[in-house]
Amino acid sequence: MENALIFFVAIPLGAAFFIPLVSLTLKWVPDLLANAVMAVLAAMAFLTIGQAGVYHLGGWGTHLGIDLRLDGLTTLMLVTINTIGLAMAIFSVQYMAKYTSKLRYYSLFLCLIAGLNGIVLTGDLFNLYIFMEIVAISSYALVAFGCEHDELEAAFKYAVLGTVASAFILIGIALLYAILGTLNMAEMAVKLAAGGMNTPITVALGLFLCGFGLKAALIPFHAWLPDAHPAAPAPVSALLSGVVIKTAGIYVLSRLIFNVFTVQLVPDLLSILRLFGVVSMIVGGILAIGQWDMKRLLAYSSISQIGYIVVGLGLGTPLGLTGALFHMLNHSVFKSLLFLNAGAVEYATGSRDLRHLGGLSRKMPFTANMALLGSMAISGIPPLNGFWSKLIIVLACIESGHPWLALAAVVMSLVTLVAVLKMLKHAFYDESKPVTVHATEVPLLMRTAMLLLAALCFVLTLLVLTGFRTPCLIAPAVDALSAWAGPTAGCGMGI
Amino acid sequence: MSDLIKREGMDLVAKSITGWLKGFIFLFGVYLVLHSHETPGGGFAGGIIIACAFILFTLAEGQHAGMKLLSKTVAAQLASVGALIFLAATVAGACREGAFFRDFLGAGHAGIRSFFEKNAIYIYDLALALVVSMLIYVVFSVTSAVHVTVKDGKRRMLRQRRS
Repeated sequence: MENALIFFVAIPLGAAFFIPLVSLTLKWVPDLLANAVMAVLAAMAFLTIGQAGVYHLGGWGTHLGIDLRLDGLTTLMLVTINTIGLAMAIFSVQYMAKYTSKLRYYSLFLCLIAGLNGIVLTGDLFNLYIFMEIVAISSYALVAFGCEHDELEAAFKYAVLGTVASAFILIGIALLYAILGTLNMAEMAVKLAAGGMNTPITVALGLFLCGFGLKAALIPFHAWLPDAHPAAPAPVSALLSGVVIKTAGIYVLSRLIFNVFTVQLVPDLLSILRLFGVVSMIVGGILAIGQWDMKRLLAYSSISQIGYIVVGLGLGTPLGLTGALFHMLNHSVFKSLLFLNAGAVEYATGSRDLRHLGGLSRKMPFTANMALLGSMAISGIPPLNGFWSKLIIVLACIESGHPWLALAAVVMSLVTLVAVLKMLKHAFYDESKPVTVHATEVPLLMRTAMLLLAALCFVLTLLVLTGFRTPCLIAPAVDALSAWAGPTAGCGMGI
Repeated sequence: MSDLIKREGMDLVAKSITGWLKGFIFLFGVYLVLHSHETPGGGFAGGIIIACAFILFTLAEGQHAGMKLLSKTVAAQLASVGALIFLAATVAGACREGAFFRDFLGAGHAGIRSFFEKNAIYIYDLALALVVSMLIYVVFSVTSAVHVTVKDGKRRMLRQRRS
């Protein structure tokens, strides 16, 4: 399996550069190729379950070359990225027809996927930065894709703040490299454990917290997200909110904190994480209620849900990590579903302003049902997946002696319910408002993508029933985070 | 139309000097690419200098002359070709030598060798030079061909009119 790892990056990159060559004459190529590539990648991602290994690029060793590393957490992220990516590619076929340049869209989309896969696979900190820049630059372009006033402004804001984050991260990497003399994360962990903390390393850690906090849109670093995520085309919003902030922000943060720096080295780090998490959870949730733009409401709710994940990580216990990683997976699914619903509404009516919509459940019953399902999942109503991950996070808070965090998580779950009920009422179920006359149900492929994600909301519940035992996704990922700095460090991520 | 094109670009001095210089700049870029295995930066530095030759020509002679020499679409396609060649060379390493990025032509000694000895690093550098030069040129021509105007209080991106 290790030899195939590089193809998670190579296949989408190759397709991204192949599309502009042929699609000027063959208009059907981008749709078909992007969907085929995403299907292959999703299948490959599922094949990595239960596998582990290290792949040396060019056959050079760890000291000289670049490593790709596969462990439980990487597998979890690969499955998330490529499954959600497949649903987005299916949705894009008909949704993106209203934009003029599908070939550019798919090229950027596949570059984004290649960058995301690269981030989670690489074992080298500088390489991670390169892949993060690929993701960032593709996202800037995709946010600006509509070329209207709002899109350009959002993309500019995103680009400026994203570049600030990248600068922080690059300086942090440079500091670490200057002190430790290596960029390989496994070697870094060994050297850090041997040498202990000192001031420059603490500064580097602070820079990483700010940089990746900005990428993950934790409050107070969130200013770009409520503009950037609504401005993009719906599948891209879904990918940004569902996958990108988690991969470029949460995944890298957890990798660095738990595997490279390790909690023993910096004991205060977890309380900082909990603080960031709980503030994001509360502020993001409350701000979501006041929004009238459907996608903006969902974007604020993403900040709140990221808060849940960070609180779970900040507990540092196996149960907390389980809850955090499970919620990360669940949130990718139902937030993507909700963004696709918003996209479908915008596709059918041309508006996503809740004040101008109303009574769409009769015109678009399928989309309305999907939105209802996604809303129930995000606000934690059993038996859907969101309930279980929030329950685990609440239990983990109580178990580790933070009852106030548990209370905040429960209360914010209700606040989330209020926000999504507002969206449901004003868009779909409010009969007192004039029904948007011309709206019809969206085409088949868009419905297929929504159905795929909705089915996943149920399927992921089954992970709980198996008690997270192998061969499922979550337990190996938790092991990868909690057991990496053991005796096997340096020869592979806890393999 | 023809008057307009004649009037485009800079004055006669700039045009004449560019006319003499552009070939040498291009040649220097090619020289850097061909010696990329011995110089730091390699194909990247050479590619940028090749792009500079095109950009200088476009600045001096005007946009239409530049686009006539090398249009944005063709440049973008050449960049894609370069990227695909690069990718094909790396995958060939995976297929023939068992490791992605492995030198699939020579005996695995990437670096100090004469040009005529077979070595995959030349293919990497040539592909990289193609990608870098064409992409820098595309970025230049896209940003210079679009300007933003304010209409009804909203900013809009407009393509420059052709006449």
